[in-house]
Amino acid sequence: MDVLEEVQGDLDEAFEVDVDAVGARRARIRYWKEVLLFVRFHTVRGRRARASFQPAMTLNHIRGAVRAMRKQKLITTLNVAGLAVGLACTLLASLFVIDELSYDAYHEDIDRMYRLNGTFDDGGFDGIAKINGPWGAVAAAGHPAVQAVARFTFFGQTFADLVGEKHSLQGGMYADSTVFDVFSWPLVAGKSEDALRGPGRIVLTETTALRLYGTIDVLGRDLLLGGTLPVVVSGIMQDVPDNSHFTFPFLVSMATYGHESHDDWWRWNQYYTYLKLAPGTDPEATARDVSGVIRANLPADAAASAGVMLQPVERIYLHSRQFREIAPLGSAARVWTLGSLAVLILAIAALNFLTLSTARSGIRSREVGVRKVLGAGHFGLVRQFVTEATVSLATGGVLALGLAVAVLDTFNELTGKAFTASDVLSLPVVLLLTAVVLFLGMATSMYPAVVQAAARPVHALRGQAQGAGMIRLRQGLVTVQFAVSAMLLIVAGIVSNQLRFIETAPLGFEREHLVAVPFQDNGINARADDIRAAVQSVPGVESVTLSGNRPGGGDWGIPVEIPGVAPEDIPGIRMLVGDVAFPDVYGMSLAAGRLPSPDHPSDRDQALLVNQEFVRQMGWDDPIGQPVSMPAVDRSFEIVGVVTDFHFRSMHEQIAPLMLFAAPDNWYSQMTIRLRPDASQETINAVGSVYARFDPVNAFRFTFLDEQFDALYAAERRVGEQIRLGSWFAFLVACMGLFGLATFTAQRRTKEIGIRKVVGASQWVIVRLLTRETVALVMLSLLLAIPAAWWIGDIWLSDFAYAAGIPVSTFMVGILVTLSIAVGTTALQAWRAARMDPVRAIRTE
Amino acid sequence: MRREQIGEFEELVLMAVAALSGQAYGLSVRTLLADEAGRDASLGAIHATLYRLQDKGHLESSLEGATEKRGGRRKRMFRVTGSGVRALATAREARESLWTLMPGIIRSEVAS
Repeated sequence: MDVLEEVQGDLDEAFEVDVDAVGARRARIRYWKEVLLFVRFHTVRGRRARASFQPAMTLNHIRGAVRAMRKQKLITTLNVAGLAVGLACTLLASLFVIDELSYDAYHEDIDRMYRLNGTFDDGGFDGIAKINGPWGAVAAAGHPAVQAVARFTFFGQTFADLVGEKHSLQGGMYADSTVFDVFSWPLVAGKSEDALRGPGRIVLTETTALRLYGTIDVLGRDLLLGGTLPVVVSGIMQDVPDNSHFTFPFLVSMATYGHESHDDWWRWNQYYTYLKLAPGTDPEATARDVSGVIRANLPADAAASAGVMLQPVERIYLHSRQFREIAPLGSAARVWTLGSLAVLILAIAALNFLTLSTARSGIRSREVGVRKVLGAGHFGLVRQFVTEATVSLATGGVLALGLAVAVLDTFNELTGKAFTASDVLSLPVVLLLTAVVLFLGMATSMYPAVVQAAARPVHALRGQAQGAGMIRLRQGLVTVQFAVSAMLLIVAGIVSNQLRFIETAPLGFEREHLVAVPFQDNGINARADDIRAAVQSVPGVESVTLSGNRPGGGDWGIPVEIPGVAPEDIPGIRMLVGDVAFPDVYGMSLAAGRLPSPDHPSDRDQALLVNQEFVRQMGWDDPIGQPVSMPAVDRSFEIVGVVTDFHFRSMHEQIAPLMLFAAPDNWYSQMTIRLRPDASQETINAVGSVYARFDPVNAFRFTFLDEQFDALYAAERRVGEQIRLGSWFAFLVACMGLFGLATFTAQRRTKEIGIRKVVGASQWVIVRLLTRETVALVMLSLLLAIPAAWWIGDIWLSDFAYAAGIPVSTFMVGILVTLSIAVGTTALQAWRAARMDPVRAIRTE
Repeated sequence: MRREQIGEFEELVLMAVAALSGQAYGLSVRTLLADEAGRDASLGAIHATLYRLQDKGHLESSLEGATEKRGGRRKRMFRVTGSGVRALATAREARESLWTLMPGIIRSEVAS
């Protein structure tokens, strides 16, 4: 092959030149581009080879394909429609999967980017995403292998004052000046080295700049944040890409952040800390070194539990299990669910296609016979069948694109994404679809094609090409299709059963009629008693409590000391902090002792409530009067009562030891209001106007507690919906296959049916005869589906600490639905066949 | 196939081969076109055109000595044939006679 040698030589030499000119990476890309561009007719074909490609014959094949499709409209429609549905599902799912997998991958040195997480002693989490300031700025930044460190901390809600107009700004962050050394976020104006250097500087994203000023040409402008903080716009950056694990509208320089504990090694773990390592660094060794420095800076008791680990940034979005995560993340399980659903549905559609192709090719065995007698070669025939399959597949592919665009809105709603039609029609997607179509065309048409082409012409002419093997294959395919569909249906049942269980299970406190109102201005704390009294007097309000956090995942942790108990014997204890009315407003019930009350003035400082789990883990018989102290905040308590265990986190987690106590007023961040059952929207409005008196700047916000708890399972609910939807699509496609099969069987047995009727068989006997095969197949598929569904459901449920189990009724529903769908589909065809005029039937040849 | 007619890109390639006098092969032609004519063509395109010109009889070629740079592979060196030179001359004549037919005002505008 002279051509090959010559071409390879040219490519290699060009590569050498490129490496010097533009670097190895770009050169490699260019090399591949060149290779692909060499795929031209003159190189591929070979210079002197005779063309084996015969345009006339191919045209004839396509014409034959179109004719065959027209002749059997029903089967063709089923075939193409099934394919279109299957391909559309796959297409959308792959859009989702590709998008999920692309998170944060755009950063130039993503393979060297890590987040510094604190080690954290709590089941269910790998660590805590927020750490203390100096851990990153001093301990990590001082390590020789660390190239850059950038910390973020939340700015909180604020507003921008612009010529008398207030624009609310949410989700901003303080960031170190080194942020652009770690993250590949380009600035469109300003210099990345000093945009955030020094106090009083702000970087806006393009969208924020446009929203505030209507232009991005605002470098150097003065801006007043929250009415008090003057900053200078010192940079405009491109918007943070959608596929980032967190985002923000603006960054304020960290030097502006004047918290008193900013440099404290222990008390203020408020910083998300990202860093970039030098190439070839071992992250684990680095984490060990940094942990060592941190411990050296801490008092002995704190040092024992302190430590850090490095989490690769590219794994955060799908794989992170950190406490206090920076933003809501995706989940690998969801990607897997949707991905495997898509593959399953595509598989069903492909099997469907195969079933119907074999059915159709059987009918056409006579045509094959004629072609062979007229001298068609073996490969010519194979090529004819492959062409036909590809024509149907291509039609299905085009329809799939249309279908995908049509249901895009629903799909976006289901997945929480914002895909547009141009994403669906983008080049990679269309190429992928083409590849899948071509692959399916080859794979599904090869078997029938080869069998047909190999048939002896004499047999084929008599219409005897259909061997027993072909029919058994087809039955096997239908069985597999129904097994998959039934399995999905049952799994969806298990999921929704568990969700129903969670929604109705008693939490241990009364979550109805509870409204939480966050304080968006810390100044409210100073007037705690005033706002409490004002809200209490609103008609429709039953009671109100001020608190630092609340059930539903907001609990805090703190080390405690208990006299007479060694520190290592004390379990990790969570805490909820609220005024003395807190347990009462939440409707907690008492298992022993008493609730704190305003009648005991000392309760405010010393009364501690614990839950039953706390008592159980400590092994106490009578916990009342037990002293407990918290050296970190310099307070000592005495246990006055034990509350019944309640779910203060999601049902995924075991109820942990918990303590509740009143806090100094300045710990409060919110209030929770119990409404009377007859309270209306007006009550909420009235509370809103009370709130406005205390915080005239920020808009009143509130959450219903029951909604908040339901939101804990939003991901599960989505997965459940996706599986259920998937199972319906699977059924739809499988039914098309079964319908086609039933039609075909009825056609083949036309003569038999005619004779049976003449001899006296009733229509019902005929229907039963034709349905029997289907029932047997579906029974077999259920035998496969049930254990598979049980297994998958069990794995899924094992993620919950409190699971409803797998009820028998789920299986019963699955069996009934599957059977009735299958029998209904077949009976429809059988009924038509049974009502046929027997005279005409017998004449059929 | 009418031997004399060559396309614009073919003409460029043919001129490049002539300019490289004896040192013309895929890569060197591409480099010259990129540097002198600002045409960034892929190796595949150059390769195809070289072979097409050879089919038309404007070029002839032979496989020649391997070098270290190419991983020991030989390269195909191209030379312009007599018919190639004529084709270039024809193309140029056609161009220049058309050029002179353009109104002066356009010509001066193009030139400036």
